[in-house]
Amino acid sequence: MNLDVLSLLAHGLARLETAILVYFLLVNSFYGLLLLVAALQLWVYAMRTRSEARWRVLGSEVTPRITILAPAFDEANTIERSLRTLLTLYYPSLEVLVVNDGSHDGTMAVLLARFDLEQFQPLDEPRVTHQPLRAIYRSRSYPNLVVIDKENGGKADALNAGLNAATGELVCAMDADTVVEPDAMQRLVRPFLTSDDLVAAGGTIMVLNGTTMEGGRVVARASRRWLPGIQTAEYLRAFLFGRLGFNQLGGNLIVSGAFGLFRRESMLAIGGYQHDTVGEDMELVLRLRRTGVERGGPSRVEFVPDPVAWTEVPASLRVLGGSATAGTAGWPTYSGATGGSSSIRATG
Amino acid sequence: MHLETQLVAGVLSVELTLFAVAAVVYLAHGMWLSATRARRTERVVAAREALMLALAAPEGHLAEHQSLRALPKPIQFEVLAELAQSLGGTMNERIGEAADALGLTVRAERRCGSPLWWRRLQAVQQLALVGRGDRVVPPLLADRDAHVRAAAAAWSSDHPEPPTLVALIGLLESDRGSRFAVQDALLRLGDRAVPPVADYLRVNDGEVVLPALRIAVGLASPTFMAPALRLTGDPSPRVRSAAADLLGAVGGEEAVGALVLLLVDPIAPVRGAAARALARLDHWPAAARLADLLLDEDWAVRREAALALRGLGPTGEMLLMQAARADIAPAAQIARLTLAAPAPA
Repeated sequence: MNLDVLSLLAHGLARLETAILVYFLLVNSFYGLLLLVAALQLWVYAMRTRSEARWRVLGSEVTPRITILAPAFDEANTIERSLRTLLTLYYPSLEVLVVNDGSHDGTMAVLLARFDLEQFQPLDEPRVTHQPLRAIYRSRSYPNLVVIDKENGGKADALNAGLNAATGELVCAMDADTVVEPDAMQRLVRPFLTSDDLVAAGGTIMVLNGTTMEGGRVVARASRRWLPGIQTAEYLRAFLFGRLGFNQLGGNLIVSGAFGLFRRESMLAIGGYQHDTVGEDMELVLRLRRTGVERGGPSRVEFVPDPVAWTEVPASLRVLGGSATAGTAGWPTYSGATGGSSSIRATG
Repeated sequence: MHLETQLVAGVLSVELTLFAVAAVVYLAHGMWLSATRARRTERVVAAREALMLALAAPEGHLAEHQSLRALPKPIQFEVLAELAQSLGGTMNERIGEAADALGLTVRAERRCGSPLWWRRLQAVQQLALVGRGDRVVPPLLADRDAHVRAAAAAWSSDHPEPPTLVALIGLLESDRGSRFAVQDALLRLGDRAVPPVADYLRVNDGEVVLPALRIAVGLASPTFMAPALRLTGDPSPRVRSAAADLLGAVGGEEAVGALVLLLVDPIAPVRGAAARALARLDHWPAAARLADLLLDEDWAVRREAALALRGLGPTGEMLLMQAARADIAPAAQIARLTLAAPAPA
């Protein structure tokens, strides 16, 4: 009897072993395919852009206007540095729109003191809903800087307020603490210049922890600490392997909340960001794609491998666990890559 | 069970082999990179410095420098291209001559006929940088690859031959993949692009003319008056709006007359575009008509009308103040908001 049970158990374990083997064979085959496709895409992209004269985009009258939406909550210590970096990006027609989401730490006071703001009345009809505005300001020193001060409502609510006030044909959603490479916008806009059916584009995001910065730019790139180091590798895997592979297969469903470019009209048509969701980045892209397909509008999402934005990642396991739960519940594969470590998320 | 054990062992050994191969390839590639990169950088820097010194001297052939000749062809082109991007006139011509002498031009021209798209693309981009390729690049405006067509369009902005211009206009209508490059090239050509764009707008209608209308707005030549007036009657509201923008850029009596008619167009964006265009022309006699639009049912039209009135100066501001004091809610609201807004930067 005992021998029978043992034999049955051994047989069952052997079957389970085979099942696990087959499962991993399938998974690894798919990853292998994805890797090959990603490598091919990367090569094609490199060939297309190797000798490209990007100064044409920089000096062109037909380059689409981009509005950067930067929601900020309790970022008094970093907002000035982040904004000055954004204001010096190399792009010809750029509007920087900061949404102060009811900060308690004097973020608004820093903005008022450092950027020579004057209040004005918006003339645009609100097309998506959000918490009440307190005031809208424009900078006298930087004509392309607009600041919205509003009641606290979370990141999605702040982005919706920004969407209403934006004047760009394209909007770039990012966290206020994201550091963007000076020419990243020229590269990110590229697919919009050659395609009408594109609704969103995302770029590679890297880990800011442990890097050296000078004048708001990242100059040395390696993190010596083990947890950010692992996340650096995970970011590279998720972006250059996962998203690039899915590019070719038409399956890109995420554009990172820390750095992504969208068609503003398409965003307004779907009612902007939803407040009652834990992963607004993915939810937004899904709705954009679905609406585009149903209404026959732009619906394609593209990942552009070389634009680089830098964002802080959790430096301890406790914070990492919290951020993965809050930011990407249900999508562990991209837990590191959705970015969104901004403090604003805690208010939502 | 024995079979399964064998299977597991087989799979594991394949995986281990793959891992070992990957590790060896990875390490070998790293070693190769570190060995070659430093040496190559040194040579490129030396060639760059020699070229800069040679350019500073009025005489002397750049191609004669040994440090440049010692580099592989693709790197030679890179070094020349770096300089070419920031130079103009005779300096740039010297870069072109150096490319000729080093055989780079011939090589790129030959590659324009390659069956591989990436070779054609790189060849066109290289020829654009050194200002060569008059014979081989124009046919590539009809290339099967959109990126090659776009690169050829970018090249055309420095080579405005009439057949090239006609080919560019043709791409404008049909080819989204290269449209940005074509629009940009035509705008950079300035007055030389006016006749073909005007000819195109004279005989075409419908939404296909929208990209050409956008270029015409940028070029803002009186030559566009007749086609713009004709297109204000186009069935497409987007075309009528774009025609209004064009009339606002061109100006003149006829333009004002057509724009005043468009202020009562049944489609709101067209009315808004007409109001914007009248403001651009500073046509204050139209202020009363614009004030009527403050009562428009569409917010965007009211907004454009209010901004237009403010842009007209005292006459428009007086009408805005009147509207702000009146009891008619929509007009009063937009007038108050506009008067409270700071002047545009």
